[in-house]
Amino acid sequence: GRGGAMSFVTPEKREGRTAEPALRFIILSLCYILALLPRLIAVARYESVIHEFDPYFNYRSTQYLVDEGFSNFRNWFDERSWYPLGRIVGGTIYPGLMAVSATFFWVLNAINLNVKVVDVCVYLSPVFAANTTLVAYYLGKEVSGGGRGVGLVASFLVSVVPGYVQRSVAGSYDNEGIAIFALMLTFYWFIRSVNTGSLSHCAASCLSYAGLVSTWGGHIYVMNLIPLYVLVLLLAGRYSERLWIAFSTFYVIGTLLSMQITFVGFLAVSAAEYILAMATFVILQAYAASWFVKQHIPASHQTPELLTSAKRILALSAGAIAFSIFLLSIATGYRPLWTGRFWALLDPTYAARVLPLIASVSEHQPAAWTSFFFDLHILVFLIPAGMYRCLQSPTDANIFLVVLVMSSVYFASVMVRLIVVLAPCACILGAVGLSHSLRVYTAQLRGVWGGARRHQEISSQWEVAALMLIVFAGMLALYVFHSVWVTSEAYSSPSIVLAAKSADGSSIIFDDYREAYSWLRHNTPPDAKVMSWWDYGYQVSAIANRTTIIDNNTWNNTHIATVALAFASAEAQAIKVLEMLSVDYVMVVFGGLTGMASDDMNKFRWMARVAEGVFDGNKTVAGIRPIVY
Amino acid sequence: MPPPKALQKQLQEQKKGGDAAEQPHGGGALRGLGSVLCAPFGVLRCPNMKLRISLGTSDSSGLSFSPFLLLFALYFLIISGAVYVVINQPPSMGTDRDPKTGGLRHVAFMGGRINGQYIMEGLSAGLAMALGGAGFVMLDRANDKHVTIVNNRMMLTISGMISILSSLGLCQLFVRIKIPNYLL
Repeated sequence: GRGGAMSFVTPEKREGRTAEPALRFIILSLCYILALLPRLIAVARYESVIHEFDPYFNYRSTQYLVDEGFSNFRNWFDERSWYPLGRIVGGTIYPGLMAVSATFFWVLNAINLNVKVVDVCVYLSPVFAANTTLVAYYLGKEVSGGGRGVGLVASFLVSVVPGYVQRSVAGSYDNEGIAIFALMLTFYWFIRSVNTGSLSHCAASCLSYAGLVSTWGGHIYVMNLIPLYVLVLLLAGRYSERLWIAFSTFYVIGTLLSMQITFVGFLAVSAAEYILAMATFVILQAYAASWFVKQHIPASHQTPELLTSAKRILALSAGAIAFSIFLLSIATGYRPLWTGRFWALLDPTYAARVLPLIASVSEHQPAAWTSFFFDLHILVFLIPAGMYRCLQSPTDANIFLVVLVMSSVYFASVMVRLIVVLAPCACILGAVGLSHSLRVYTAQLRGVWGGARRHQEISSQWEVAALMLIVFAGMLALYVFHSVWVTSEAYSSPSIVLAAKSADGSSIIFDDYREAYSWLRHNTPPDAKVMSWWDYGYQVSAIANRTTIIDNNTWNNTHIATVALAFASAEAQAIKVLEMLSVDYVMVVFGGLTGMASDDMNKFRWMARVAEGVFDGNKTVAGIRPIVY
Repeated sequence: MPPPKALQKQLQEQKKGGDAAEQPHGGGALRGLGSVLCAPFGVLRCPNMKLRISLGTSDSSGLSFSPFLLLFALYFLIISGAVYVVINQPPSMGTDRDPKTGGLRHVAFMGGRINGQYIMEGLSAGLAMALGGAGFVMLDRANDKHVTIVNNRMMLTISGMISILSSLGLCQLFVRIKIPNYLL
């Protein structure tokens, strides 16, 4: 190219040695460190403690796995939770998270770095979030057809995006911490296999999908999104052999691997949530067969009669298959229905009407506009920019990005918790849009200072380009500032330790939860049964090490309603329920003068509603108004 | 891709053969089955469906604006919290009592919580966010090679920059009304 004496920005394709690989390495390392640091604010502010409620169950399971080994873990029946019923843990969890932590624990202890299980659990999520940053680099590169600039911008955006940080801070030992890493990896390998059609890439995508299935229930999203993408490509007339190879391999081997997880088992081929994947597989095979046949008939033989008879054959076979499925479903009486949790995503009003338990969880609420802006910041502007760029130069990979982001924006608006899926995907799409503008303006600057070839004939106005670049840099700096502020203020509270500011500005730490659990642990007999509302079940099991009646798993609505009945009835009736359940201790959380907004008194409305839903003879709970102090 | 030579020869033979080709064994039964299978098509007709989304073929250079506009409109609706409004049915705007006169005042923004909104508040915030997105699209079009008049290019660039900066400021203002200590 046109070499100049000075080149401030080395061009992308220059022969010979440049500083570019070193620059890329430095940028990616900085993004990796940037991903780790804000997530450790919670550890710096409080201590290295596991947050929230669900992570305590994961911690207890990991401890069990480390102590007992994998085969006992798979067959674990927990008699110390859901007291008279017990819980089949081995068959009802996703073991990926525990398996990964246990592996880290064993490896580190084998090289004499004697960490405890708690330490591994606390720091696992930030490490995997930083790994996701690297995956985002490769995904951005793949989606834009080899553009390393897109990859770098994507990795920078993913490193601090608040929507992802909120579920992967240090101490948040939950499934999403690892699952988002597996999700991005699955998308990367799938896009790569669609772009190249190589079976080894398909195999890699199936393996990463298997990792995703083992860690998270949200794999159903991937198993519906990828078939939807295949259908969109078929409708857009973009069928190719690579697509056929990629999806057929992914569906067959991915489903087989997902059936190895006991929790999924045969649901992968019988549950209604997977029907779209199965139907798309059949449609794709039919499309591929007709395409193959069409390829082998010379154009002179493709008469209208041939086309008509081909269409008739297709219509007859489709009708025959549909009729036989109809007969089968009548004969066996098996009509698959979507389960409540996933049906609520398609019909947003379903949960409020039918399943008050699911509707009451705060992270299952629909998203208001502030949640979007808080968790995405400038990405809400960059999503349309990326969409525009993708639709202007559509490739197979670009269309995948658009389908991915549009569907995850809708699902995130139905359930706030799913912003964790939207955030990294929006980063990739935003990187496509932003990187294009950045490249245009830097090309204008480069044209002025001498360097590579010019792309446009008009006189480059380098002042405008320089101003734009300064504004973009300011915007990205504001993005980082916002993200770190949001992480520090909103997403770094461990929930088990509360802090408040007193009148003179000093902060008071409330460690009441852990004191209560310690009291239970030290002052009650080891086989005592503790009844509390289901929010605290996992913590009581893990920290107090006592048998609980109900906990956060909420798998048995009637059992929860029984406990709710005990809480909502007068004492004379409640004692009968307590005796039936053989309860020794009852734990109640009361905020008192602190005006805590989520203590048991404020949750009483939900207790009453749940009890009413099952035992509708209990008319005393009707007409409860929210309590205001 | 031309069919392999063996198939070509076979097809040519069939063309030459025509009516002199062999009848299949049990031809009567098969022809009866054929007429049974074709019977529905005496009444019904296979639809000539052209089910296609125009997203450009593998070798086309660009496409029209309309799919993007449709997706952008959907995105604007979702970002304004349409699903939240459908489920929770908040009022269009809140009401408050004026402390001095006791009369009713309208409150535009639901303060204090991150995950709550009124309808008008959602739509105006969604408009602010869509304005920023439109600004980026304007910047993209300003640098497109289809735009030849320099004046248009300059106008698109300036309006794009103003849109982005103003929408950032608007969003920050709205969030600060809801959460007073935002970024402070």
